[in-house]
Amino acid sequence: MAERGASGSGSSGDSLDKSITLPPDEIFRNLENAKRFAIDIGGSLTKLAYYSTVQHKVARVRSFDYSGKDAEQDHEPPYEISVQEEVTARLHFVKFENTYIEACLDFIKDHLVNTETKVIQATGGGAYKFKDLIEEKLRLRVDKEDVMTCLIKGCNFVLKNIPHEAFVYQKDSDPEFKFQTNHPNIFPYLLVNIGSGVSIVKVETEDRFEWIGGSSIGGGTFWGLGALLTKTKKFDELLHLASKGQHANVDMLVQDVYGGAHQTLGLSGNLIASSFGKSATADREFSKEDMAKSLLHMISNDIGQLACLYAKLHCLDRVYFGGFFIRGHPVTMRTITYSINFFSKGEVQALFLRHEGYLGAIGAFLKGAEQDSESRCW
Amino acid sequence: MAERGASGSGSSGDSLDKSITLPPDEIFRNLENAKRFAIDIGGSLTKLAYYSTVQHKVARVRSFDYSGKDAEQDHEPPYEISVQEEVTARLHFVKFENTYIEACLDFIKDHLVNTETKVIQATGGGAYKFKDLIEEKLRLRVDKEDVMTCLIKGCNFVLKNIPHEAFVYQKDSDPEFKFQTNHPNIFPYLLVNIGSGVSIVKVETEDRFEWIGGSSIGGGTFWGLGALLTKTKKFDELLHLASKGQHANVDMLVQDVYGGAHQTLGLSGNLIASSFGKSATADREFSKEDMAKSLLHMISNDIGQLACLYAKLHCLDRVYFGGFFIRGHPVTMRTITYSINFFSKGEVQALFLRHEGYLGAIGAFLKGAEQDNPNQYSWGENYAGSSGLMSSSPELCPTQRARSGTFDLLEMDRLERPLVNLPLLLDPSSYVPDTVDLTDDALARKYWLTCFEEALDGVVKRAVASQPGSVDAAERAEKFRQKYWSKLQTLRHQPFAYGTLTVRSLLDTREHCLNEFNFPDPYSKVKQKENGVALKCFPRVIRCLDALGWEERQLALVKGLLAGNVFDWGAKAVSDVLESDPQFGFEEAKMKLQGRDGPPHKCALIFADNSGIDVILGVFPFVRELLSRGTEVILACNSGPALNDVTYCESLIVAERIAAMDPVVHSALREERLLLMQTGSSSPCLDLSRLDKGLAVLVRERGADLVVIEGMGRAVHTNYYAALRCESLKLAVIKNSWLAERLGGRLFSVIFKYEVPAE
Repeated sequence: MAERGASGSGSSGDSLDKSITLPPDEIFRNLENAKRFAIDIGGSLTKLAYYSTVQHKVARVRSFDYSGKDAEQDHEPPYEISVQEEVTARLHFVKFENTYIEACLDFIKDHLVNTETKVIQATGGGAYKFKDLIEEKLRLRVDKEDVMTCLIKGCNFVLKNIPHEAFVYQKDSDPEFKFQTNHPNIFPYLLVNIGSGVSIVKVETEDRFEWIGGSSIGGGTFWGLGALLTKTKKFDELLHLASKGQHANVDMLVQDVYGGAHQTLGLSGNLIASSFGKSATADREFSKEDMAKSLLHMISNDIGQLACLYAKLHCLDRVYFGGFFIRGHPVTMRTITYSINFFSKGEVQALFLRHEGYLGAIGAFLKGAEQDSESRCW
Repeated sequence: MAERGASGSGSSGDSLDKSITLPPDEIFRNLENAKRFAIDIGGSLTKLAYYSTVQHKVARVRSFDYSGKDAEQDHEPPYEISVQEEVTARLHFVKFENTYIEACLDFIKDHLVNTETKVIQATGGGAYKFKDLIEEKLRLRVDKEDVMTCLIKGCNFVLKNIPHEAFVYQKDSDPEFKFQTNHPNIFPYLLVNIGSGVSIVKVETEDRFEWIGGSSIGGGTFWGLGALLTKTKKFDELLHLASKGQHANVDMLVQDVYGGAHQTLGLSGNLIASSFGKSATADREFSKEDMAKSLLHMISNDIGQLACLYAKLHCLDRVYFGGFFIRGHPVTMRTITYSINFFSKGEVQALFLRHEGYLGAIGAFLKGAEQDNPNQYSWGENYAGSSGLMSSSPELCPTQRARSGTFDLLEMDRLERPLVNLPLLLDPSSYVPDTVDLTDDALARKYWLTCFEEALDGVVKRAVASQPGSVDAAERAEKFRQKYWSKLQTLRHQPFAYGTLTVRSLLDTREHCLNEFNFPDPYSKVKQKENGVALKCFPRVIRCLDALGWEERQLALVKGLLAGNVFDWGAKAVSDVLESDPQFGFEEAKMKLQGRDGPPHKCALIFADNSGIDVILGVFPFVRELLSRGTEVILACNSGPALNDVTYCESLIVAERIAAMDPVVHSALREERLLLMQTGSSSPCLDLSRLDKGLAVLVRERGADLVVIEGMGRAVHTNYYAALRCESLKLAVIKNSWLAERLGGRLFSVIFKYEVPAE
């Protein structure tokens, strides 16, 4: 997953809490040469995109100059190899919790030496909230970009430019991930962006899209309720807990309500009749893992169902899921996929993105790049 | 509140947790005669329905046997009254938490003596789970009924049989509840049943429906997550917590994400961007109240949104919400309504049900009773035995809640005959019987509630006086007083407790409470006496009238109708005069009045009001005049007693006695040109959409083309604005100075409203 690589060494995220010693090689790489910035500040997470030049050594081969010489005899090798420094362009994306934004901005400021840029494209709700802070810290002018425009731009970009960006998640098949080849015509589609909340957008062309719905039950809900229930404040730990839990200990299943008789009714006994239904009356403790799992199920199911209904209402058969909530987490993807299949009877397909969390940042970056009218392939 | 009265002794609900002393008079009423059971066991609550017979005293009137005697001299009263025991059918519904199910089953078993039933209809998920327990405890065979079928059956039943069952919740309007009049065609609609989980059903006809969706985020989620977050195990306490919380302390709002800039984006800053979004990163404690509120918002919003999407997907514009989750809780209804309006842009309407929790139990009962075809009957909500809407709503009466526990009751009386629309209504779907909506009109509400409170002493006195031989009359009358008083207090605080509050519902509630304590007809003796007096005057009045010329006679008849109508024990101003001046007579009544003729009609339908002078010296001469000019007359009187209104049985005797004196009436009765019919009602008011079917049939057969409605209750409190397809005459004397003033007149002013339908 993208963000796994980014936070490679592991505990770096944790140490941010107190101290501010960010290892520059690891998190904000190549910052000193950053040329252009874009930032996407969501309700919980900040995604920073920057375009930088990367110097690396390349091995060059060069023919010897044969003119007037009997080359073959004098030189054993047919050409020469030299190692040179080359400068290439690279897009970097970093994601961190909003709590650390001030520390990160300070860090960026301290390490930003060679830049000539005066502007930072900003999107996400927080772009408004943190505008002054960014301008003060980075001494860059904040250009606010529309959240939805950025999101869609980013999504269109990854769908077109990154091979196998989208994939279907199939729980019981091997492999579980089934990547889609990039379809020449990606429109129309439904984009469900799961950040702190959920935005549901119908995308018809590169430039035409419409916000058609949303939900307050999103990643922030998993995180917030999860933190309250398990006293675990870290999103990834919550996901980890969830992966070890048994939701049936907390959820009321169809078989709990119907006893053994559900089969005669043609109902699957494992369907969740009521999320957290067992914790209502049972006088016992519930494990953190079980509660986290139940919560993840509840939220993923709900999002899947809403996505399916909006897709059907707008006659769309493909739904892409973006936003930081999913994080390639199998249980989440499995539940969303199950939910969409269940409610649409297989008519609507749930597709996930390898770079789901970066759509807004990519879009914001592209918006800025458009102004330089650069047009390149990545 | 019913359960206030019902659980009178106090902590019954709470104490159930440990002990099992259920007061039988209060919770499982009339259980000893229970004939048929149905039970709906949901994920959290059990709803028990049983059909039982209720024995109560009724006053019967009977003519003396006059054969071979000079009746007039021997007997002062015109007929005899006997109090008899009558057995009527009543449906009882009780709702309690599943925790108490074993205790309740034991209780039922111990008190179930006279039953012959061998079967109990069961529905709800728990029907499967508790099957063995029920069979073992009650020794009844459990017949499992399909959950969804029961739900829909129940929903159709309440929508058809309970007036003002459905309502719209409007947060900022006064009143917040807007009750819907029962629409003759209820289909198609979407039913969203919120139990532990959520079921979404599209209902197209009585028998055709389809489960189109569901959600696991329902009442059980609120309860379960709420219990985990707040350590509060009681559902109602959670609701109470929620009502005091500020969700914005826990939820991430749009303005939290966007800072102050949301306005420039055209977004409302108060929209919830992420439920519980603030608790993700903030390192602080959150209050139980705030968390409960946020949870309630989250779930209600989600359900509203799903409901809206399913409604749009299936092209439906009405969504009814049922199930125990709502419980008339304002925050819940507000959020669901808001959510539906927001997401449907006002195209889909959210409707709530007063008896949302009982749908499954009612349906299961109906399934079981299908061999008796309960649909052939009409049913009426018994205000005396039913808990009001939001009776279990914590924020309205938290102190009461704490004591009353978790039992909620609904009782419905089986009416002897099916009720239907008057065929002459211009537009049955827009007909609203009541003239003033007291939920809407705070001033009028205050006045009438006070008026009924002040009249209560008199009613109690009258009730005791009506049963001189009874040793416990005073005790029962006192119970009646307490019950009706507490209903009035409930209605002061929750005018919407039983649907739209009207003068009619206040009067009907009083009648139901009187019946409850075996005061079936407190005015029977008074009516008897007055009928006797009036009958004696009848020949003289007729002679006077016949001596007049045609025009004078018409005027005199109308004056007579109005003068007679002054004699109304239901009106406080009149009963004061009558109590103080027993000599107050017909002529004087005429003097009190400050007082036509149309083309001959084929058949007139007359709704009579009071016994005695009113019907005998006012209505009958008028009837006689109509008959003489060739118009047939259907005289419709109440089926059961209400105040001093003439009942059908009394009208039969009165007519018989008049016929003995008057050849016109005599031959008309014999030739069936004068027909006495019952209205199907026992109310001092008149709901033209719920009339005895026999009456409706006759009205159609005879081609009635004139409707005369007499009296304050029938022509002013109700039907003042009723539009009919034929000529109508509404007449009454305003016997209430406040109302007179409001209508721009004085006490004893006359309402005389003759209407011809627009062509």
